[in-house]
Amino acid sequence: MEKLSNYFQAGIEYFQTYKGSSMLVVLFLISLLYIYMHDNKEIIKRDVFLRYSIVAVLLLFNPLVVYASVNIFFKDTVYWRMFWTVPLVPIIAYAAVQVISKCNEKKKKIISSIAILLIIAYCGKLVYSSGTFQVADNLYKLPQEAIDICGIIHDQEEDGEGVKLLVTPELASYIRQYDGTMLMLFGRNGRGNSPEQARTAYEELGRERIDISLITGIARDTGCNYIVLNSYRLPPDKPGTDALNAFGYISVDVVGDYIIFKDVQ
Amino acid sequence: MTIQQIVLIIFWMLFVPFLAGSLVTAFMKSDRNSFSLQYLCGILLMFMLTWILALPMIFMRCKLSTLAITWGLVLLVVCVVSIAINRARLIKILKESMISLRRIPWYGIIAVALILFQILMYVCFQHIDDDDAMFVASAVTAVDTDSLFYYNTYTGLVDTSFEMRYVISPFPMLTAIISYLTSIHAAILSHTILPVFWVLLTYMVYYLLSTCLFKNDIKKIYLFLFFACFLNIFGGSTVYRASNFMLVRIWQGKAIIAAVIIPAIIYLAIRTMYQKGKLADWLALCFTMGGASLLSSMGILLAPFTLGILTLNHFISHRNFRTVFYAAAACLPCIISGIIYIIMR
Repeated sequence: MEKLSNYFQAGIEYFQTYKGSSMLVVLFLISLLYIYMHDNKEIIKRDVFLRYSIVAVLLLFNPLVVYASVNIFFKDTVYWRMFWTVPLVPIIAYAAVQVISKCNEKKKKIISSIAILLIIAYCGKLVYSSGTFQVADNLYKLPQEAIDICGIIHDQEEDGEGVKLLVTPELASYIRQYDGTMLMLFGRNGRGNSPEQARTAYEELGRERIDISLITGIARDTGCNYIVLNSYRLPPDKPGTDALNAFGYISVDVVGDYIIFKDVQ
Repeated sequence: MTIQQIVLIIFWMLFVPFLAGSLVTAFMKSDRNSFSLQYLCGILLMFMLTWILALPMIFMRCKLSTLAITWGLVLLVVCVVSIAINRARLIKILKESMISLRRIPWYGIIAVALILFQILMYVCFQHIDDDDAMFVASAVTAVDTDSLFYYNTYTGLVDTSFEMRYVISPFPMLTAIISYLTSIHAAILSHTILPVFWVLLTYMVYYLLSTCLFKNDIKKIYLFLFFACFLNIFGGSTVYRASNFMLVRIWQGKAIIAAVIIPAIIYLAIRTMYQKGKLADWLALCFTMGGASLLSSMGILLAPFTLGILTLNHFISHRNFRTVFYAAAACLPCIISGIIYIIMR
């Protein structure tokens, strides 16, 4: 019983995650109330909007549904996506149209439209705010450094050499979005085929000052013939493009803050 | 991008879905001549076909080229049959679409401008998303290595086992197929070109849904679209909202579930259950469920959940067991994907 109440509580928490600080849910409830008061006799609107929303909400907060979804299907914490099944936008838009259509005069229609738009703007939040989008660097919509690094490494590549890359975490997610032939020790969040070494290298490369002997050791053990490092993370006593010379890796180019090293041993 | 690539993308993402969709709608009964309906049915058919072909080919370790050529050939045959069956109707559909465009009220023009604005945001700006390290890189890997989930997406090394969550919903392979057929890089396709079609499709579904709600009252339909645009644009209170997924990262399968599949299920459920749809309407609904299975492992649960509630409500109102049977049959793609996932994960 206690476990069930925990899952009910979890359902509410997932809903809070989904909802955020938005008041659009309130607008949605008002819209449902409007449909109940004015369109309840129309079967489609009653069944598809009103009853659907009520049943969906009852199920989404049902501890058994939360339990089954989280434990059998999702494995992680994305239950909030279940709330996508509630058609918030169509229901609010429908109610708004009905409210405006009920106005007899054109002037009243325009005033009520503006009022509803203002309410929506007040209750919601602009998707395009707070740096969601930036001006695109290129058509690929990937960091230009990742694209340039791939190009430089391919220029350096000798016939049949093959490329395996140990790259700083900032770029790890993007290299293979541009070039699927590049082999990497790890990708996003340090995930890789050699978990232990990948994890160690990922964590080390994320530090303020990296241990280059550790990094080159892992690179050599795992067959990485190229290393891309962030120049400002190199140790103060070996700050430049010569930093890895003693370990058999020489610098072949610099792209922005990144130095590309190649194994010459 | 070259002119040849632009022609090819218009062919595969506009002409082919339109013609393929016309074959499905040819067997529908009511309100079957809108351009939006042809396009929706065509895209759903493409989703279903990808799901049917990709899943066994992934497990058989086939090449991407095999999948892409088979996929392309099947769709071309569908298009030829569609032209043979629909010759007269296709011209009628295009003419009717042109006429309906002339009837757009002034606020409809604002709605269209808002839709274009949302598309332009995708074309001109960029949103860098961490999940692309899986979704986009899978498509790029498939194209660059001519394989289907054979290599680990994060490292490019041979994968000895399948990550079932992704394999069971191989939407990146559809991006890879289109990339293969158009020679456009999969990252450009995902981030810049396909969002144009997905956003258009989203509002086509809203348009179709509103035709059911407002009985083809064109003024109310465009007012509905106008408010839907506005609600989506102001739906960014958290990154977890469907509107946010739709306007920020629609190239990912889960975002298409939120933006297109859920409203499409509601629209097609109205057609099939409340407007006494024919078998072709049920088929379109089944394609939607196949699309949900293709797009995201979440879709395997979300789509039957939505259709299940709609069916329950219809059953309470009408006591019609036939509808329950057809709805259960339409869910087959999700049931199959669910069983494979539970057995093989």
